[in-house]
Amino acid sequence: MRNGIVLLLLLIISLMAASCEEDFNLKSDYKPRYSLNCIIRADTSQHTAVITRSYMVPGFDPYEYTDDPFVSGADIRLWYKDNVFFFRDSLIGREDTSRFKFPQKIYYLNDFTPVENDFMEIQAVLENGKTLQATTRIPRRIKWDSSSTFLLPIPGADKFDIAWLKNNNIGWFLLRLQLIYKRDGINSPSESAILPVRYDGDTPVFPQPTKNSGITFQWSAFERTIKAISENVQDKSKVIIYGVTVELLVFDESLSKYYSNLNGYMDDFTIRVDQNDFTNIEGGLGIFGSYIKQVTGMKIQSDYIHSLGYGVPN
Amino acid sequence: MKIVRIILLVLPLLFWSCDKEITRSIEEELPYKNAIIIGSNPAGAKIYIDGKNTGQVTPDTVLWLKTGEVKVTLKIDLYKDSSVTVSVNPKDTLQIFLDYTTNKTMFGHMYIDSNPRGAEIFLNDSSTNNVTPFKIVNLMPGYYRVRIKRSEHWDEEKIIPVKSIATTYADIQMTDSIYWVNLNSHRTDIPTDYLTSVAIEKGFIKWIGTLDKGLLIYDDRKWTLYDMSNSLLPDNKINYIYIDRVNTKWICTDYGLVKIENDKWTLYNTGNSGLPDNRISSVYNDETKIWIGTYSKGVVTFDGTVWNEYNTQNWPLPSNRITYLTQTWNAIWVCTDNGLLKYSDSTHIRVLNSANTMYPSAKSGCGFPTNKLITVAIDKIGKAWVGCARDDDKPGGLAYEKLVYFRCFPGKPSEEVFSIYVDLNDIKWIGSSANGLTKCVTSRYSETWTHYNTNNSKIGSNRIYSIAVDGNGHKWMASFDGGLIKYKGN
Repeated sequence: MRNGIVLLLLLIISLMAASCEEDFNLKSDYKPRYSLNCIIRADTSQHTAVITRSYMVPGFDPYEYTDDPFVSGADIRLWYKDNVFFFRDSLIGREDTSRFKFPQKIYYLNDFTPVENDFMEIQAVLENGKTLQATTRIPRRIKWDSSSTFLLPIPGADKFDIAWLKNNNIGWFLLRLQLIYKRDGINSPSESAILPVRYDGDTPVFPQPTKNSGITFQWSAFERTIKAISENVQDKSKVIIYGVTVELLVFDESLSKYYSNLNGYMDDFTIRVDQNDFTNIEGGLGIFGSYIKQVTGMKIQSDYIHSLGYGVPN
Repeated sequence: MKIVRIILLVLPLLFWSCDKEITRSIEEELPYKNAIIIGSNPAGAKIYIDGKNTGQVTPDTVLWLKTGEVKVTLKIDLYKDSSVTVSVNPKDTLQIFLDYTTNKTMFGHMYIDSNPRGAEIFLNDSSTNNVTPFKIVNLMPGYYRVRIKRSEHWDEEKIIPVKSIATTYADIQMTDSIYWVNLNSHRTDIPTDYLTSVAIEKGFIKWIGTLDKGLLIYDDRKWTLYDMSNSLLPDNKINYIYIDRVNTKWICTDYGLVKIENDKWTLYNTGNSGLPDNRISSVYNDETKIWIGTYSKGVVTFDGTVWNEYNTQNWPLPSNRITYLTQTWNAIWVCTDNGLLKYSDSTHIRVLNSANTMYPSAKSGCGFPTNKLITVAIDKIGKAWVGCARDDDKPGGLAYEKLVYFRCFPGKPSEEVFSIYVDLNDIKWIGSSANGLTKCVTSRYSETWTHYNTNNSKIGSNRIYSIAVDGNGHKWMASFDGGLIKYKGN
């Protein structure tokens, strides 16, 4: 009797163990998801869009997948002031062919130049009827703040500011200063060097997307950059300094939220998300946004340029 | 009994231990391929679905519509918008067709008036048998070519849009053809509006030089064009046309001189004649020889046998750049870019310039405005009228001989005076670079000026290069941007 009870218990425990066993697979069932990415620039009439689908790889390394994830045959339309623009598809060369061996497919739109503060809507209908759509409003142009420095150097200062007046509190910006020069006289090609805000040891720290209304540059970083351009140049007097171009990208709300989610916090309740998780596309993934680029110039005093042994344009 | 208790205790454990919560995402339902085929007459109507522009135009098929009621709106330029609500379902592909042409609610109207009124109205080349003002009703929307005709006026034509359920008002200003006739490329078959010279044969046949189309002949009915492709012309740019007393035509070009005697064409150039320069500015036949002005080699004469050159080396020419020459009052007048030569005979030669034509007591404002002479004409009492071009910062203009000096008018009628014509009544008609046609009547002590330009008259251009007068006393002008212009006034 006792042996029977023991045997019964062993049988039940085996059943329990076997009944709960199941094959465990890290991959769930594959269900395609679609991503639409399109950034409209107000400073050009040519725009592109890309639609891709999610894919399943044989193993666990995404780079094992080398088929084309581009989704062809989509009907992409852009609404702007009661006008409708149709994207067309095309092929462009791919610089990095280590993974995908074929040309890059894109959708493109020519002869379309939006104006600041205008509203746009994009809609992509895939061949299976799946619809991806989103909206954006072109950001408004900003004005440069009077505290900005547009003439260098500032006597006695160890830093200088580039500042602007924000149109709202949600916009993000990306600033880039480029030193324009020629290395070998007036007939040599123009070159440029991006100015870092500072150096971290020997590592230059370049401006990052920001929601602030200005960026401060260390003068020492500027000097280090302008002196570095004549490295390996035998005759420094042939180096001609033209000045600095100041480029500011003003992002729309969608791109601002994107950068905010990646880099900062919109408010106390916002959490950072991964790049791939952010989307403003209804019905799928990706991002539809816009930005405008504002460019101005910064002069460098001739005396300072001469003091470095460089020349100025006539 | 004990065994039963154990089984009862263990069995729930068995089920409970395998229990797990599973969350499943909701299966996404793809849309149905609902479609509507939409057409219209005329085609090309913009298709709106539920008020949103699809970017498609008729005829086309709109896909992926939601199941249920859908509002379809068609919009076409000038037509009233049309909407219909249809029920869409996956089973049926709907078809919608709108024929605008049979829908009377689409009609529009046109009201045509003119100044002056009473002009006959033509619609798309068909007479309406009505005169202005008149309202044409029940027209299909569209763009209509309206032409109106009235005696002693130029026909006028306009493209008038007609919209659904609206009246379009067209008020057309007519141009009288009593005094001014503008024969330009908009109204006639003239091949260009850029003319350089005009001369008149037998009192009515106009010979016209053009900037780049060759030689034109107009006999009040048709235009005849001679160019490099169908004649002996060496260039399609004509500098000057001269018709002598026996109706021989002399055509000056930058590649030689063409003589047209009856129907015989002869080309003279540096290769086949004694011409030292192919660039011919002007010509005159004094019936003993031909006087030819060149742009860089002075004056050349040809008596049918012998060619003679007259330049700064062997003649008192102030420059070898001859802009114009003519003969009157037994003197040859030669305009250059450095003054004017008056040649009567070898003992009576005078060079006139801005310095020696000035009143001795005058400090400024008298004499030739500049030394760049463009044209000269002699009035009924033998006094010279000269037209000058701008010379650097000095404006050109008009000057005329008064006693032994010249009264001058810098900048008048404008900064360059291209042509001067003295009519039988000793009225001077002056063509200038920016003020159209100017009429000048002189009295003993003063002048009366009347300017006819595009601001105050029907003249078709302010840039008059050349003036000729026909047998009826009508002035014919070669303009540089308004074609051939005729003025019937006196």
